[in-house]
Amino acid sequence: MIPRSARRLLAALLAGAGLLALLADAVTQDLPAADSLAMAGRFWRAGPRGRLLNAPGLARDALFAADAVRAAAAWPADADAVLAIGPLVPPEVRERLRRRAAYVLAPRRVLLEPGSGSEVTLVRAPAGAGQR
Amino acid sequence: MSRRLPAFAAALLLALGFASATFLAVRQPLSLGDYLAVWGLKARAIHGSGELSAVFRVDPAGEFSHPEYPPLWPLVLAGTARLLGRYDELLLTLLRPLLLAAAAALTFARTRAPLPWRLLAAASLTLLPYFQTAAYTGYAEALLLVFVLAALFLLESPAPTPFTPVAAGLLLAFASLTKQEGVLVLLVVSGLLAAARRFRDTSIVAGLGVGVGVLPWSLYRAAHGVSGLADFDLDAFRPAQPLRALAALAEIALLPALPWILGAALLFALAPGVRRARRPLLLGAGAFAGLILASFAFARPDVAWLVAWTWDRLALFPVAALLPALFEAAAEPFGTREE
Repeated sequence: MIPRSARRLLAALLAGAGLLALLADAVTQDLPAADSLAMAGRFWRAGPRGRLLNAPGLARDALFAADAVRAAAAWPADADAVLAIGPLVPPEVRERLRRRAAYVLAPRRVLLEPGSGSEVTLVRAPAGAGQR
Repeated sequence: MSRRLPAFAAALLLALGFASATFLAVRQPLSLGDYLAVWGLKARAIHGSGELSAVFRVDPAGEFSHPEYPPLWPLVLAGTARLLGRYDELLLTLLRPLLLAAAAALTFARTRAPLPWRLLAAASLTLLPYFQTAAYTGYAEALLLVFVLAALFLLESPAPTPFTPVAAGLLLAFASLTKQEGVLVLLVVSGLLAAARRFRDTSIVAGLGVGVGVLPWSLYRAAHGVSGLADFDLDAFRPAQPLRALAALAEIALLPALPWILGAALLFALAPGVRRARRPLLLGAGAFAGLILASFAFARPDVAWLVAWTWDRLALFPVAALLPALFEAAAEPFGTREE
């Protein structure tokens, strides 16, 4: 039988250690606090378009995303898009661009087509293209 | 003052955890990982078209967006965007603190212990790595967790009303409409209610969960030619895969998780009263983990890859569900636990 005082001490130590470990993880964030604050300030001051194009998931392909945003604003919602990507574009980049195009152009379908060389083009699909 | 100090310190910790998780979530627009490929894609499709069926259109071959996933989180995102007047990925991050506050409040409410321990339980929820990871902000787990914790809160009530199982069943139906893990929670809860001979509650909870949650979405997606799960299939059955999943999990997480597992086991070992009172919850968390592990037998992709990308999000549910019991166990030796 463990004395009650020892049980209390052990319980307090375990709960305290657990909470401290969680707190330590929380304060050790992915960016220094000043950078984090600056990042938040920039995004909350920006307009919707700037926010989207600079969002961490899109910023890497910002030029491509900007084309897609322009297309999303100009094309009707029921028009499909054709994304042509050449064989010299690495597969992981191809997949990344496809997902970004699908996101920005939603609810439109983005149909993938083989391009040539390192081509990456996004055009509006002719009416009736890709019907299933 | 000395009696108020622990509650004040616990409240401060809760405020710190909430502030840290909220700041990480709202400092940049939603755009990462599965938000972009799955949840946000579908939300934008619904918002842009006004039709639920648009979730099947944006990825016609179903190659990356998991068209089979339930639609409630994209519907919540799209509905909120409609209320806000535009689809703005930064404004939508504000849903995260709302959901986190709800989950923390439910953890506080579920913990049967004096005030400081209840506050600490809520604080620990806000400090969980899931909520301290910016990349998960647009993911569906936070909404699912709120439904699950709310259902548990009702089902654990010492004074249930005739309406309690109805509300719990509806909450678990919403959980099933949020993510597939909600269906597993529904299964576990129904099984535990049946094992406790609460047959009326079982039939209401299971009936509503299946009738309002599982069945409508299954029929809707089948009507749109989407059947089965992208990552799981009966034909992919390999009985050794759960063992491989366990090995992969051990390789990734055993070392960092070991102190937590031992610490939790020790806390429960010191608290026989909580072990007795919380037996159904402990069994439920174990059953959920067992079902998740068993499901890997039907995994189509490489199981080590699947475990690496999902284990921390899957672990969120049993861990969050058990937090009240853990803090009740810590409080028990102090002799002030409220039964």
